Amino acid sequence: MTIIEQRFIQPGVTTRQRWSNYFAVLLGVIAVVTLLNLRASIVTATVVYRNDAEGIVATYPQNWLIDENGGVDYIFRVRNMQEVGFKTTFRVSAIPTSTDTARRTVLDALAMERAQTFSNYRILSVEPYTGLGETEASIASYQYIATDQNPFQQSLPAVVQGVDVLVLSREQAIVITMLSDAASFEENSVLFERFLTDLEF
Amino acid sequence: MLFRSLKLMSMIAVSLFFVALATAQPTTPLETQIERIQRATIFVYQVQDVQDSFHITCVSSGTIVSRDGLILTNAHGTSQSETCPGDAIVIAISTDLQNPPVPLYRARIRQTDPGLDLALLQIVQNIDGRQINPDELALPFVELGNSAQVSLDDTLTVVGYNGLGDQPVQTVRATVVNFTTEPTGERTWQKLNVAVPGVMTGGGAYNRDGQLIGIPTIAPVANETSDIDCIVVQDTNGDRLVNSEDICVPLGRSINALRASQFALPLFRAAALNLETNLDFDADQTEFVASDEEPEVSRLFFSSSVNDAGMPTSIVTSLPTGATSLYLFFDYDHMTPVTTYELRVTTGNIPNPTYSLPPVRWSGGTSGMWYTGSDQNWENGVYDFTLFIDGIAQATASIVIGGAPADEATLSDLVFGLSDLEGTPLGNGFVLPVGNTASARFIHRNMTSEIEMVERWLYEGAEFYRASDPWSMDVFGADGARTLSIRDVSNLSPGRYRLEIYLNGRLAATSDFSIAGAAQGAFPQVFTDAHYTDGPTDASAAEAVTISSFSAGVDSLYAVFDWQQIQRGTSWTVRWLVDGTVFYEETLRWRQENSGENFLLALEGNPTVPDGTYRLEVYVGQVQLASAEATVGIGQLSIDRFSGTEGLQLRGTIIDTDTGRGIPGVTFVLLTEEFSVADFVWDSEQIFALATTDRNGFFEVDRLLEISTEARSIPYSVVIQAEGYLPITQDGFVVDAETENPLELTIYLTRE
Repeated sequence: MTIIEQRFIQPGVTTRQRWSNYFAVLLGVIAVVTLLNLRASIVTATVVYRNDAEGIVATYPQNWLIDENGGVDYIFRVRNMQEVGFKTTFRVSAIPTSTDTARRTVLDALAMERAQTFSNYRILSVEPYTGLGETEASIASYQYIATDQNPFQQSLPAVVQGVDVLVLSREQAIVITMLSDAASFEENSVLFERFLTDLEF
Repeated sequence: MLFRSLKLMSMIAVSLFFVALATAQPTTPLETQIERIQRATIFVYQVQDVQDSFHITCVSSGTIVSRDGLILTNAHGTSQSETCPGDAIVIAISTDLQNPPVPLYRARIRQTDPGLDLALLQIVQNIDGRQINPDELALPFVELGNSAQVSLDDTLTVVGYNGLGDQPVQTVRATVVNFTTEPTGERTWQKLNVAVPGVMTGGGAYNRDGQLIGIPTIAPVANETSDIDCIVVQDTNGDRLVNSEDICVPLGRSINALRASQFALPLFRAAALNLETNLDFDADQTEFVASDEEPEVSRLFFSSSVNDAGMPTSIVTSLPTGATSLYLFFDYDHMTPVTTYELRVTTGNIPNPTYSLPPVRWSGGTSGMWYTGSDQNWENGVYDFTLFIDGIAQATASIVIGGAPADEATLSDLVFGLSDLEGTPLGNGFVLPVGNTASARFIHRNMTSEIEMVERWLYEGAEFYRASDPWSMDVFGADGARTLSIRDVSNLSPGRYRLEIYLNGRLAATSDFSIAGAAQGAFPQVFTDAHYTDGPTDASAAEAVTISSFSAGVDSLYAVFDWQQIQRGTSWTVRWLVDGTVFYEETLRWRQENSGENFLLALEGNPTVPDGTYRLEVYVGQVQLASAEATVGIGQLSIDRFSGTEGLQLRGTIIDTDTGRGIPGVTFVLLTEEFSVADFVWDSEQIFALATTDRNGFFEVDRLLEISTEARSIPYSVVIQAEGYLPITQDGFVVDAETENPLELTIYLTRE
């Protein structure tokens, strides 16, 4: 009996094939990196807002709804309308002051006013803010319960956490506000810090 | 993924298309708006806030008339009074039309007219006391219609509440069977063929176009506190018993009278424009002065019609078959805006609700001559009219209608003026300049020589001249016109006058007139140099130059005029209009010196006086004696883009395809017709309306969609983008007259 051993012999990889493999892997890596960059650019894409009358230039996240119809309440605000639940809001407003007005006075007045309209409004902290370089600022952190005003809808209230960054400039107080659902506050704070950094007034 | 998204978008597009074209039966505007009207109908609690506990003191219905929470209702159920002693107002809304209303807000009175029994409330707080910014409200509201266009036999829909807030909103169909006219204006009251519950007072009655054209009105009567009309529901004195010692809540009798909506327009206009008017007089010079005197009525008589000055044209004691108008006149004194008066009419001793008037607030000032009546066919019969003041019968008069015209002597069409050489009175008829003569001219018919005529002249209620003489057929004849005159060499004093003419002891003609102002020919110059001006203070405004055009954004303006020879106590009326619409009108007794300069009327805006053309008119009686006009800004009111009540209500539910459950917190974006989805850059200027889903995924667009016509198509675009879900967009979303209204959409979102 003769035993014949059959073996599958791996054919040798040609140079061309080897380079093809290398290129395939390389393309894959490039594609992943590109997609990651694309995603990052989409996520971090911003739009420039310019208000010459108020001397304000800001950049805000793309696809956030901008609103300049605030009258005396705010100069402009942007809201993430795609967010499910409470819409994260960045808002810039100006309050007339005098040369004797202290930042703390403005923040206290804001707190007293908001306590009249917001449920369970509570100041969490008030402290100096150093994120604007050499510009002296204060930051107030607070929370309240936001409810829908439409009596015909059964909306549940949301716990909102907010911060006001306040700067006194040219006899007015510039108040930069972030309002966010408390559950996503930290996540949105990153965007807000970027917003603050890019803000010119 | 892309294919899936496109497929979904196309599915939604198709579904939206078909839903939008879902045809419904042709309906009247009222039928399409009835749900909105019912939602806008609210229940008003007047309460006493006692140590954080609310004691209900009065209840009524009301109607939201603007999206920012202005509410039209009766004054008696909201203003503090003996029968309604509460000091706070709570508003309950029917969030579910099948169930009773839910207390949600607190309100304050913005404008009120106690006499007309109308009030405009403003929602200012949540029920828990938190302040509300009215601009952030988007409540359903109704449009005020033109009540002058209502006709007899029109079908109206009355909407309001019954009970003490324990029943859902009610709708009653009724037919207009009569109009009652009073000195305050034609068709002051619309009478219905059915009686609606008393708590519907303050609600609304709507025409076929869904416009509010009347306010069901009945006032609680202080002397009528039977168990039926006033019920006790709470332990308000803290004795742990609910009994007659506690506050009772008046429910009022059933109502068949509507206050015409035209009387609410000035209040609404002033409130909507945030305008306040201040007259130049001290607080203690207001029209109604507290008095211990009891209100009273007297001298009841009938006239077949009323002239332009509100005076009887011809006094009658009977009317022939086919009489088409009848008015009851009477004198009144010591009345106040919180006085209730009621007219009960019987025909052949059977109550006749068509001509009766339920207890309503008094709107005629302290004293004077009043009338109530209607222009329509009066059936034959013996009519007995009984006037009740604060629930007590005070005076009665009867008239027979039927048979052939009587041949009795009649006097009619009494007018006053300065006589020319032929004895014809010249002037405006009822306001004469100060001078030494005054003449009255009347038409007489069927006079005979057996008639003795007595003329009786009164000044400020006191007789100062009387003359009587047999009728001279040779001089005056049976039919014709005659002039009577009085003369005083030292001039007739300015003030209120009355002439009464009796024939054989029967009052045959009477009329009031005024003497005021300097003579300019036969016409009086009472108010002069009327103009607009401005200034930081009243004193500086009085001296400032005339301004006919104010810049936009002015916070106040003044109207100024001089006056001469007007007696204290003379009734005068100030009326303010913007763009031709009255927003302020008040009739007062003159309280200043007889002559003077710079009477100031301030018009204050909050924060500014809106752009428009402002006109001031000043009257004595019904005669306009002065006017002034000025423009602010562009001279025309701006158009409120949220004021429309015509259109399609859009709502729906956004559902998770996987779970089949509604998705809370998703935003539904509707773009204006100028922008497509491709143009949308997330700018609020591009958005027609926004809505966010509630915990059930339900959303409701708070602005009505404009309905496309053959002449004009209005394509909206829809954007729904929610994190974690595939987006949905749609251009060309059109609704037309055939589209079901309200339109309910069901939109499915698929997770990414």
